[in-house]
Amino acid sequence: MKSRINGGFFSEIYKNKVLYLMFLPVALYFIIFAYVPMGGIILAFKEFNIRGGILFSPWNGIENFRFFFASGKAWQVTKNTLEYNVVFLACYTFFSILTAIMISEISNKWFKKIAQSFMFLPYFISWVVVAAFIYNFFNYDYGLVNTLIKNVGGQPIDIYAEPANWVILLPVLYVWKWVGFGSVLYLAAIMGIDQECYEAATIDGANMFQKITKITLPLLRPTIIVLVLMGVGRILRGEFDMFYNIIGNNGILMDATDIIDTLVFRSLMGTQDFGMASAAGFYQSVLCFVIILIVNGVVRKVDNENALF
Amino acid sequence: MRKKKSLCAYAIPIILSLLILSGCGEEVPNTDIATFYKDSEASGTFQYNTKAGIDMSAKVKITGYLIGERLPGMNDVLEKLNEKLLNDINTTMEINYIRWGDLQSKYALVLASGEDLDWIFTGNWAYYGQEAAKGAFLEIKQDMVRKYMPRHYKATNPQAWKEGLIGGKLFMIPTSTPDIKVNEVAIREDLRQKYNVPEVNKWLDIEPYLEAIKKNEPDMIPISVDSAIDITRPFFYQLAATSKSYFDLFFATSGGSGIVSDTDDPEGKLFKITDPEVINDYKNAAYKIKDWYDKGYINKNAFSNKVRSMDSFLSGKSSIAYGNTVDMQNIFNKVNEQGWKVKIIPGLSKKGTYPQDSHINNGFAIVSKSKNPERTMMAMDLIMEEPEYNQLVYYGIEGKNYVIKNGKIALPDGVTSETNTFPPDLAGFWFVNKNLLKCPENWNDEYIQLREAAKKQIAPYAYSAFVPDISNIKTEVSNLNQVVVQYFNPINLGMIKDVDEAFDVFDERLTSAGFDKVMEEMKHQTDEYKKELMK
Repeated sequence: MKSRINGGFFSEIYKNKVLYLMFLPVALYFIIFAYVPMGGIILAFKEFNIRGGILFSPWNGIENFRFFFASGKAWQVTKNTLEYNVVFLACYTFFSILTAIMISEISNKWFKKIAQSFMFLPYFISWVVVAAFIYNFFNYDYGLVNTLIKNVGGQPIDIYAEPANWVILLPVLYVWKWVGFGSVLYLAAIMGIDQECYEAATIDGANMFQKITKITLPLLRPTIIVLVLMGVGRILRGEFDMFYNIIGNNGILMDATDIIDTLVFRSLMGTQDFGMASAAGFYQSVLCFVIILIVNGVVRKVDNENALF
Repeated sequence: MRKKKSLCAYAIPIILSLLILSGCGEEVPNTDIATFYKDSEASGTFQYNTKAGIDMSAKVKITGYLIGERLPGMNDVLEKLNEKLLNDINTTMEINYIRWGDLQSKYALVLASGEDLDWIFTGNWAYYGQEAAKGAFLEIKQDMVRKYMPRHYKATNPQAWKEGLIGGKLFMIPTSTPDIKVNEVAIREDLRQKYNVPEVNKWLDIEPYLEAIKKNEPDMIPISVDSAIDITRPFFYQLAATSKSYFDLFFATSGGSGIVSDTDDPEGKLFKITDPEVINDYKNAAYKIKDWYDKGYINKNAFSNKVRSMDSFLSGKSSIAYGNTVDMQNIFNKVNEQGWKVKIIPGLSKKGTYPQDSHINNGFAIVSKSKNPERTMMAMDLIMEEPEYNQLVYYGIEGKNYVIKNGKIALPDGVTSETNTFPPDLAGFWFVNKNLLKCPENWNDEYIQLREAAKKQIAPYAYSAFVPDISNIKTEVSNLNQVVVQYFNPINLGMIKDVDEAFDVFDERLTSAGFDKVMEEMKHQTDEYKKELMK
């Protein structure tokens, strides 16, 4: 049995050598940038010093993890990270599909291209710049919005002092930034759907709405599942750039907007301890791993064909 | 705490502060130490001093890191520097820069990476304590300094070596000339007169001025602070002026901890901010600041504002500029162009004092994996204490970056401060002996007076050079730091709804983040530190 697999493996490579050769750069990329650095995980259990480096620094057990749990905020930030990411993922998926379907239904080619480009544009804008936009729109003293409100005689809003605003605003920004990118993925999947299905449906008298719900969405399901699963795989990795640049060190907003990444960054900026930072990263990775195993397990139960593994 | 932990918090004041340095000018005679390495200078031939037992036969290249932007004129200066170093000690030097924006992330990485490196700029604000604890720096022994850095050894107050001790060991070479500066604040004297506000001579006189600006200048915010540097300053100026000059013990090193002491107390008794003895001082300042915030004297967007008060001031958007004695020089230069009048008032404690800078504010450390610590020390000795070197790294190349007029430094014809490829002080050599440098020509009388006044206002502070050893309390220190950011900074800005409640929550969070453990450890360490300094 074993030899058959080995033989099978090598003959497989030999048979498809061109394909594997094309795959080689990708494989190397992942080995060098994803698998090799994984060894660095040991840093989470070490008291890092420069002379010893990563390999020879002394072990210190789970001491590095203590900081995260002793902060008294571990549960709160984990919860925030999870909640924000669930909301982000749900909104992102919903709006991406919606946009992709709408774009695919637009017949004016010129308008289609323009609309798509404009939606894609925010993808290229870094959060640093977005934070500057937000600041100039909403700042209390001379922001655009408040100047308008003052001109019509209203009471200016102090957005940076009210956590409730951000619970809405952050998902909106997230969708604004990512929907162009997401819709392209779904659009590609829609383009791959056999046009004959639609023609047959048209002949049978289906309207546009029926075609979408009965043909497009069911056929998109595998794509949706794969993309959602990949999103779930990062669910405890907060969108650090976004939170850090837009919220920064605003203590008033922190209970509502602090995520694992920002907490760790803020706490360790002064002490510069690699071990403790690795411990927090390790914690995130383990939780992500567990979550994706569970979700994938559920998918496998419900819809075996579409599970990732 | 007063400036936040954010690295750039320290960065920018220091950049600016350094524009002009402290003492300048007195000619220091070139003493016999200049002949230490050379047997006969007169003959013009260079010989190694075999008596000192230093073997300099091999040509050595050393590499160092400074903080800041690499100046356009740096390559020329380095070329000149290398010419001199090669001639004097058979050594060449390469210098790299860690940019201000990257300091926080890159400083630790540069040291941890396998890069060939001999020395790096350090200071109590630039991770000296943290990196020394990680074993990044070579331990410096007194006899090494005496042997390889005789000029610097002679020029440096013996106190400086004690200040740099961590757990009884020294890991850096401190500067011989710490900056002399106190907190200052600049106001628009012309507007004050225009609105008939009583004269402002100290921080406590300032409220009517703020009120007048708020009332009469709709386009100006009386106080506009940024999120990194000035954010806590209104509070601390107020706190110091109404009570004592409280400093957080971790202020210079890693941010905030909630452990404070009165800088004028020679014993340096430690308090928790929320201790009954001190909390009322804090609360009184907090009430006042909250009042100002509610009335709109302080900008409401401080947490997201990246523009420093000094820049807002200079662009006419705000009526107050926070700064220190050193960086206030910029104000005079620029304000004259605008046709405004400014007045600068110091931000001192009720007693009229401000804690003195320590020697370990600026310095360099030898990296523990350096292959040439001896040669590095010799080169740095020349750079720090030899006037020719000193002038070169500080002001650039004579004739190109500066000329000497009446014994003062001036710009050459056709070069303006904007086009100068090597502006003074910005190259990052802040550890050089500033007493050897010549004065810039453009200091006006008002500014010189300010500097003179500062000399009298600075007062010794028991912990100015204290570098906490946090190896056993890393967890707690990290957590306290973040508690201060989340619960104390809003108090500093007056952004909270209820002062008393905010202090209660702050107290609770400090305690749950392990305050007591840190306090106990710090009491122990500060006692040791005081004993060490007494020795």
